[in-house]
Amino acid sequence: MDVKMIYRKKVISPFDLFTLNKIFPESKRSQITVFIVITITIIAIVIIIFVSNTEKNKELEIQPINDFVQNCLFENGEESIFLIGETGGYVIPPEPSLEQSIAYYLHDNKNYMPSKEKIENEISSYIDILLPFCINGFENFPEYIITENSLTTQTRIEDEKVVLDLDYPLSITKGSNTYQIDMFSAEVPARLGIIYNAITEAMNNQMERTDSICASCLYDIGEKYNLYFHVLDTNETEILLIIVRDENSKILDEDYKFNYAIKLDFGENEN
Amino acid sequence: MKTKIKIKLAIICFAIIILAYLKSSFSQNQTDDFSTSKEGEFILNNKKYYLLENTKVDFEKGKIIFEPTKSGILMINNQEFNIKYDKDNPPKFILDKDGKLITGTKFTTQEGKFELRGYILNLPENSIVEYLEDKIVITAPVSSEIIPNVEDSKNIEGFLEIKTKEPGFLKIQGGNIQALKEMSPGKYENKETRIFYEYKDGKLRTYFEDKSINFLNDNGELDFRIINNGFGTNDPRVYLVYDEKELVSKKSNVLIKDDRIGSFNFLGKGPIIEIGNGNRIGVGLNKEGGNDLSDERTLSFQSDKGFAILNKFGDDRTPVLQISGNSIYGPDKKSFFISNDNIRQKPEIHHEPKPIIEGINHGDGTVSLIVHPFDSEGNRIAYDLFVNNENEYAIFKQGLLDDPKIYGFKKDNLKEAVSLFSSGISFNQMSSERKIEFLQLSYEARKDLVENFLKTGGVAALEKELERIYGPSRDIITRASVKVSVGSKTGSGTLVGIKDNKIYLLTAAHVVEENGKIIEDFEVYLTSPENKYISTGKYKAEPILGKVVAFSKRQGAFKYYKERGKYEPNPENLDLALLELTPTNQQLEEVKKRGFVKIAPSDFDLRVEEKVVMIGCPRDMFYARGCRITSISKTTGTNSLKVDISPYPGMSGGGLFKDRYLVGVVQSGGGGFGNLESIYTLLGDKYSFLYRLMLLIIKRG
Repeated sequence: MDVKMIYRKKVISPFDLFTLNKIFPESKRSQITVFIVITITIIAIVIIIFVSNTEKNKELEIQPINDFVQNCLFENGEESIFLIGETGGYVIPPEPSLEQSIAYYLHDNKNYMPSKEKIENEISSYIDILLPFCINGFENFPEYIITENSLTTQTRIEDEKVVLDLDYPLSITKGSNTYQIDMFSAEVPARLGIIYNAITEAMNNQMERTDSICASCLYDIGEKYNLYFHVLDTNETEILLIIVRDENSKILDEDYKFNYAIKLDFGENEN
Repeated sequence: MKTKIKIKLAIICFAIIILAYLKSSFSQNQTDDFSTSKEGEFILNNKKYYLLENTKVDFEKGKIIFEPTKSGILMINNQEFNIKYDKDNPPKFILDKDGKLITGTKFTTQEGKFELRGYILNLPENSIVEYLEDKIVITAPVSSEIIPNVEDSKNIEGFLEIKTKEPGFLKIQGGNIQALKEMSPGKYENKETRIFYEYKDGKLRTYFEDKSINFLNDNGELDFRIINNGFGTNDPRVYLVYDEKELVSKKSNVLIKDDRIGSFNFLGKGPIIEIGNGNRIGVGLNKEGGNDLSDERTLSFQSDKGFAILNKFGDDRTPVLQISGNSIYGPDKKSFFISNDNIRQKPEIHHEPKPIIEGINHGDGTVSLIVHPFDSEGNRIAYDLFVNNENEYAIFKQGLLDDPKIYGFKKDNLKEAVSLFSSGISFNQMSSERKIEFLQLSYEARKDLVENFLKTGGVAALEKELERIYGPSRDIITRASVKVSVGSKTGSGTLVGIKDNKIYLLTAAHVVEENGKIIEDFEVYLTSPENKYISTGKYKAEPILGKVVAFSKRQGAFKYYKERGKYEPNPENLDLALLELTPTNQQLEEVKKRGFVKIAPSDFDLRVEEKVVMIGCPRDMFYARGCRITSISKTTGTNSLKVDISPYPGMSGGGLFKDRYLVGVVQSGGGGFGNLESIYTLLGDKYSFLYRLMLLIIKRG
């Protein structure tokens, strides 16, 4: 006796019969085809579930590493943005700079404001140099065997945030499993792009007249970009330190500040 | 017949005598000089005069000259002259053929009313009046109050000059004025005061021509000073006006009212006004009832193609300075002015961090003030400028801070201020060196300093703490920190001593090691904050060559001792190297000038949590970072001392300093250092001269 028949006889309701008849047409060939389709579908589902679980397991296993690197990237990113704010867009300010390591944007009647790309590169280079100190050879993860390749950071300054893409291929082994991560990404919510645009505007005004600073212009620019400009004296009369403060960007728990210096040219009539 | 003739002759003689008498007494139309025998009226050239007794009357080429010899009132052309005879300055009245007093007329006054060429004025006793071609000069006693008036403009001729006999002030409308002479730029001394009055175009105008005058209040305090920048030019006049309607167009004017003092010149630079501590406006008042304006706190303004007017707006409001055109506001040593010459074609407020207003004293401090700028058309510009008595300036949108307290706004009120100009904030008050130190501290350390020192003890406390962190001899520790270059690798090191013209430098072993081997030849560059790009560009310097004389490389922290059958700390794990440098004579001299850092004594009290500073030369620069000790091992070895921040690559071999002493050597990026025990182990007895001398110095106090 055919098992199927018994099954049919004993279990299947008229409604089911109607359905089954639709699924299993009378032709034997058709029945086999349907069978194959169902089997493949089931296998596919099983594989998907398996793979998905494996991925989930994998993610779970390397999550701490991922989070750790991500966190280091964010922390270094924040630090670098803080540092370049202190120095006028540089990790190590170039000549001409104030002795306080703040870059001149106006000096000898020339505009030395760095390009946005230059600042992006400075942030990247800071992270490239200092990230390994934060990673510290993954000493905090003795249960993992991690092979590192060289790292490269790409920085993108946007209006409201700074996007950091870290190319840092890692081969991570835990137990018998080995995983690969190549890219990490972090976003630091600093309005560096807006600050950059504001300073660009301020410097454009500044270059029109280099013997004084236009206070009302700074007011207008500050109002336009929702920033505060502070102008500080230095020990040398012609040198002013400008601090651009952004209440809407908190870096290291305080208002973000971006500094730059200008050296005014009083011309021949200097006292 | 003879008798008749005799009678006729007698009558003629009598008549002659009578006529002669009449002529001498009343109407002498003759040209013979004479003296009056008594006081009375005389008719000379058909004009009546009232002369004093014994007045000498001379006739000279159509002129009549009266020379009274006593005090009293005489009358000339129906005008009284109450004169005082002064033998040193005898009176003399010279009249032309029309009977007008002319040049050469001179007399000393009794107190009284005089009309002089149409000007009516009350003169005090002992004023000397001199008639000159185009003016009358009145030399009056110091502190005289002389304010002329004009009743009939037909009689006006020329102008009046009123001056003091000696250095001192005159009382005029608007206050007491004192002329000054400039002894050196910005320094003045009192001189004889001169003031001029002229009647022109139906108006009586007052002006002065001196370089500078002071207006003093009744207590003798300086109300304000006017500096005449037209002094020495073709038109040195500065008009003093007491009503805006009286302004003299195209000229320099100073407006003087009880509640306003203004400088005006619509063609160029006008008078400079420097406000004093006895000013009528109430600028500089402090809570104690005194006034803060002094040599240290100054306020000045100057019109330039416009006006600059200081206003009193009531006793409980901050005074307001209105400025237009290109006029300048000069608090302390800074300047703010309006600029209309920009491509935006919009009046802008500009700041120049130096005094533009010349010829006055500029102090370092400010007093509370609001500045309302106007464009050249006289319309308000949308911003207000504020300054408080804490040397802070801020630009506000017009009306945002409408009614501030008289003593000035506080920083807390500055939320709306977009631009803040300050010479008073903490960062700025710090010395350059301290600023560098402050900036180089870690964020946490800075926060800590601001919280615990700046906010409680101000900048002085902060500086003191910085000095404590970095040590008083920071110059030496920075100058003794150098860059070590080995092939393509670079590191840092510290100059620690000299002997027999050899210089000794302490660094990390891994700086002079490559692939496990010590590098024989290496180069050391002297570097410093002032000379940070030493290996490139114009600062390129010749390196000093050297060799390694003591060395302990970085290896396993523990070593297996077969004889004892156990692992023990590895004493050969110091990661330290002592280099001996052979400088040229020139290099040797430079190193001697820089000095050497002292290695701290072996029992130096160094504790966890103490603040220290690491110094090294990452890349091509000098760098110092403040940090905090997190652990110290009592044994030797690599990373036997740790701090809370990581050195930068290239700082390896650099020093860790507490006060003026070297207490560690940078070894790893994770904040690891070689401790003092390790340093002493490396140096041993052989190089004990590097620390013995210092120990001796310490013992001797």
